[in-house]
Amino acid sequence: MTASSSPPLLVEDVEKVYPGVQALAGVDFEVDPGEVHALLGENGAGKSTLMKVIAGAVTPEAGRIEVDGKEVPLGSPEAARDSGIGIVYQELSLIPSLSVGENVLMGRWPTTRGGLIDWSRLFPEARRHLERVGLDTEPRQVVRALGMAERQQVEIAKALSTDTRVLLLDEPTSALSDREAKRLFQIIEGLKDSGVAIVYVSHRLTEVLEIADRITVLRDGVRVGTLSAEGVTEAQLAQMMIGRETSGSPEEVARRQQRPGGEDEYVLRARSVARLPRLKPTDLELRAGEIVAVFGLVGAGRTRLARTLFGLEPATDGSLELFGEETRIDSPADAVAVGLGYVGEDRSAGLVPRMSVANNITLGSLDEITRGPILDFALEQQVAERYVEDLDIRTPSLDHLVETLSGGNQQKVMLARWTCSQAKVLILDDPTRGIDIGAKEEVFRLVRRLADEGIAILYITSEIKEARELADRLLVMSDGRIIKEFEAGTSEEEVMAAAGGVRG
Amino acid sequence: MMVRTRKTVAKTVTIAGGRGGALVILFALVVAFSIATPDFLTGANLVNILRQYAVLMILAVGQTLVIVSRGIDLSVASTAALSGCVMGVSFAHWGWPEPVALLFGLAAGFAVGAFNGFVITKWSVPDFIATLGTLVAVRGIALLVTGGLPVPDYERAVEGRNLPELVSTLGVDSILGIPLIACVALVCVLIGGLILSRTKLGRSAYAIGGNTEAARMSGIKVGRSKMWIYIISGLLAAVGGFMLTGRQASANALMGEDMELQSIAAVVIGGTNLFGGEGKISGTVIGVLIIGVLSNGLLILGVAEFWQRVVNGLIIVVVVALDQWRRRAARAASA
Repeated sequence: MTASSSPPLLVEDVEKVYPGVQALAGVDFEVDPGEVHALLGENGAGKSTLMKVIAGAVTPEAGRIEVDGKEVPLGSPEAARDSGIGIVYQELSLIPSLSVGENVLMGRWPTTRGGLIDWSRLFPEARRHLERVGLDTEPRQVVRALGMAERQQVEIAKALSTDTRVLLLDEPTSALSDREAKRLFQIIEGLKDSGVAIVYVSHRLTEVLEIADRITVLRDGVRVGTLSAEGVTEAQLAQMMIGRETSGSPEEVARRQQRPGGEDEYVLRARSVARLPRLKPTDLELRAGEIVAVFGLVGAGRTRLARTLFGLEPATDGSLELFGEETRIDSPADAVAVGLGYVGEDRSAGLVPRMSVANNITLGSLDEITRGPILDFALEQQVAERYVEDLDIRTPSLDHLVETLSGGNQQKVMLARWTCSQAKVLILDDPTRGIDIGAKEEVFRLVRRLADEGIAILYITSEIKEARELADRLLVMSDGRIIKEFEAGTSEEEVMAAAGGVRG
Repeated sequence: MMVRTRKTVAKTVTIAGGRGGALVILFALVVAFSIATPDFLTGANLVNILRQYAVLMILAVGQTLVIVSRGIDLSVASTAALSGCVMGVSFAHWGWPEPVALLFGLAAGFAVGAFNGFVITKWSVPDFIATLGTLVAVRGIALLVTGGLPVPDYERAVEGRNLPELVSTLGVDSILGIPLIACVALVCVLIGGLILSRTKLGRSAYAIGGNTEAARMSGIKVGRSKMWIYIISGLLAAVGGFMLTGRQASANALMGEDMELQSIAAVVIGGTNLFGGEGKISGTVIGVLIIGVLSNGLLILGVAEFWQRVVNGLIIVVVVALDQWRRRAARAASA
């Protein structure tokens, strides 16, 4: 193979293992000159890990990466950049307080002979890079003053400013409006014409079909296939992303059918609850003992809904009824007082790492373990011990710092906190994120058990399998509102199609 | 076998550093000074240390509560001065009854604490900046109240009035050889310890300091808790101000200068994490004693006061560096 016929980007046999998860299992991947190559997969399929490996931000256990036939040292962002790989991450990495120009040329500012920054060269040079992405913002402007779409363009200009051959875009539309996304696509077309190869990571079927020349689908760290975007349907892609059609185990289905459905035992009713602009007026009803899953893509407003219900970002509009009574929740303290519990997507946000397991469990029910003004330590130990046993939390002792526990056990401590506080409604936001399969199963079992004990559960997830496996009902969110409700047993394709914003 | 060795290492490391480490340092200082000079380990000198550092102890108790909740209170010394001054002025110059004058002084401490808490929780001013502001402003108020003169000022005092009886007694007298001022400090230590370790507010302080977001999510009223913690710090500062006034038999607007920094130093030397979430009153007691013993010992040895400052400053850095080392070692041992 001669250098001239080498692809701009060649990835061979990349493997990456995280504790308990094989993130990438021997992935091959190749990008042709001037093409837009989409990398498609569900959350957790390994897309972002692959991106990070290519950009040198993550060191793989094995594999080879070549740019234009030249091997790139693995695990070095500098080497990747020098080889011509540019990346724009989902979370933008601009420094808001600096000017657009300084950001574009971050760390490579032209200097005068005296070693000072040469502004008379910096800004014109930055402007040239900005023009490539069609942005006519003044380079002297501070980044803080820009909108999300413009910031992203700045970020792309920055990625291109180092003579980039391959540009990686990680979920670039997740924070953009439809119009802004259209604009981004135009920019991508322009770059493509100028010979830059583009890797486009997404899980949105519609936009992938719109922008990509070829599509590679990943699932569970394995490449399922690469195909031309020509003539492929969304249904085919959804099928590839999800794998075989599953409809839950027989016991699952039986369990759901036993549920007393249709009774009007609503514990929570939200009417047009909103926090504009991200959460649009939303109706929601939860019955005792019911598991309702909320599924949506990144940026659909799932987490916003959870945080609003729990008072972390109080609703600006709408009304809430709990156990038939009109209630206002303006803070988590209000929410806890009326019997709500919340487990966030980020465990570390909910636990106090250097407090003991027992202290973390009782943190939501300090009033119950207080006698007069004084905390009753003996009672606290008793209570904590009961929940540690009940939820099978594996800890050497009650006094161990919670930070020393495994992810799954930490999550169980969070659940224990809310069972301890006698919560009647639990809002779980992606509670299994980042914990291994075994622990996941355990969390599922616990969630089911809590539901069987009569707790209403709102289960927010970005994993369609989880949603289908657990839920009695499944709500799909998109663009800040609940757009569709499905019964348990709806096929993954249907749900996925709804979440992707496809009609039909 | 392996596990046991690790545990032993972790245990040794824990005893050697943090509060344990502070205790070791305190002990070493006492031994060193006792050997260096016969004048150190005498009853009279030890009582002297207790008397001199009782006020710092009282301020440091409040400071501990604040720092555990990831705050910092730079205004404690100013507040002590203000409380002492308004108490003295209202009693001696304005002729108010003793209990009312005392309550007025406490109210001043309460007000400064409430103001700090309000500015920090409602206006989102960082703790450091808010209390830096009150540090300066409160001294100003104290100067306004006293006109910059010591209190009581015999030209302005109501006939025959000096300082409230209670204040001079507690500040000066002893019982069974123990200065009453030290007993007041002990009561403050016990109350502070009780609040921190055995009340909902104390537990909330640890949670807020350890992870504010988690505290909020578990239903703790973070703003209200912080408010009360600053108020308690203000009230303790007021008590400290009374004791300082009593000990000197006079109040003035500039008394207790530098004591805010000493109180922070004592708390940190005592093993409390400056970034919140960890710490104990017992550690602070040791921290205050280290500062007291060190200054006193150097003074007896005839080390120039300028050098004392240098040593006092360096000890903070060394103790905290040791503590950081201990934390790293403990983490390595438990991993």
